[in-house]
Amino acid sequence: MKSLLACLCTLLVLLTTLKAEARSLTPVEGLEVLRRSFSNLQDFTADLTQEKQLSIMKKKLVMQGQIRFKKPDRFYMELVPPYSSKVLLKDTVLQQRLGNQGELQRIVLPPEQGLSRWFATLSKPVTAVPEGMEVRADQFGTQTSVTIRPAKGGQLKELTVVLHDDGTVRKLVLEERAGDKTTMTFRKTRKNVGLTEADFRLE
Amino acid sequence: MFRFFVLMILVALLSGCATSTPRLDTSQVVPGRKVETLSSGVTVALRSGEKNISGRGFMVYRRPDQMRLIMLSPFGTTVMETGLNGDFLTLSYPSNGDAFQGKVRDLPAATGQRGLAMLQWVLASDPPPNAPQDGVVQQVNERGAKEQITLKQGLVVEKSLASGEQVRYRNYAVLDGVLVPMELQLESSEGDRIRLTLEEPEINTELEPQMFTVPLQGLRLYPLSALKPQ
Repeated sequence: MKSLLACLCTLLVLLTTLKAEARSLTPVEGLEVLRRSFSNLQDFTADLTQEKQLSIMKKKLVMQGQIRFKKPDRFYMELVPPYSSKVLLKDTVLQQRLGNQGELQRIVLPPEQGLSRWFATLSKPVTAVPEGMEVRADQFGTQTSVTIRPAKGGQLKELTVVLHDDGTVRKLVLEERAGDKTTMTFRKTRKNVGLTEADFRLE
Repeated sequence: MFRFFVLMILVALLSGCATSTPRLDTSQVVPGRKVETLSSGVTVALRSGEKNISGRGFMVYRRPDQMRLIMLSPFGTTVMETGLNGDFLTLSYPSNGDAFQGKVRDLPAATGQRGLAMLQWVLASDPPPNAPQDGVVQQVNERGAKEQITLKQGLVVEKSLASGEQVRYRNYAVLDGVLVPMELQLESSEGDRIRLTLEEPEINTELEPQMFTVPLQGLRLYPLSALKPQ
């Protein structure tokens, strides 16, 4: 009985190890996984937890909220108290309201930073890694992790996207050169739910 | 009878209004205790000329003259950092890859950043020793500048400098035995306005020296006098 139990335990440990073992993808495969996850998408909504670890903070700043996205160029994010804010991005026009009574702020981004430009880029199959960029991609279980190190000189040191098999984004980690780190975790993600213009308004 | 009933409801409603005004309980205040260090989430709204900029961030302060403020984008990345050490100011804009350093007096007036350079003065909100509960007093502050202080019920509600800068303090709370204003409104002599709201502040905790250093690696460093309006 004891040896049977020992065999069972060993088998369980082995199975767990096999399941957790990561499979490396080539950099182009990794970028393609990212691209494909967006190509099958018209819109999505998700609950968001944003955690910010700053070098001057002993504790994490944890913010909760919801995001909405609709192709080709709409993005909305609403954070709940105590850090309440609303952000609406319509291609290159970013509007933000801090708190419920805060003034509406409007920022126009350069055309190359517009949402439609990003998604136009993502619509083309990836055949090579852009110059100066480093990409590492791993598959583990039902998830794929793609880590991108942009060309040297920018603010971001590293960006990691964790995707589920169904193409939904589970986690986004932004690491800045100064050492500060932001982790966004997405839950209750719903794809292609038919979001309309009414879902992208700042009240 | 109906009139009496209406009157009663009215009285009840009015008394409800009267008691809904928050009353500050100062029983936990420890006499003589001051803010030596402060670390807090912040909401900053800046108005300079026609421009309105607001954002959320985090700041640390150590008496008398060290301060660092980090402003974040809606997506959590750093938009701007301000570091003050005495009269030495560092401003960094990581997304542009630029940083500026120099003496506060070298900061060009039209940059809209003058208010940020005054945050050390803004954060010193203790009533002067022997100040009256209500009234106006004048004193020479820790930096040698002459200032006028307005007090109400023992709290500093307004300070102004002869050079035209003015700060108003609102929404006091008692933190670790110290009265701390949760909202600070500054108007610089050039008309720039900054409203700073503290979120979940902690006072008099230990802050390491490196917390006041703005990281400059990978950034192009310019003298402060070269700063243009952002």
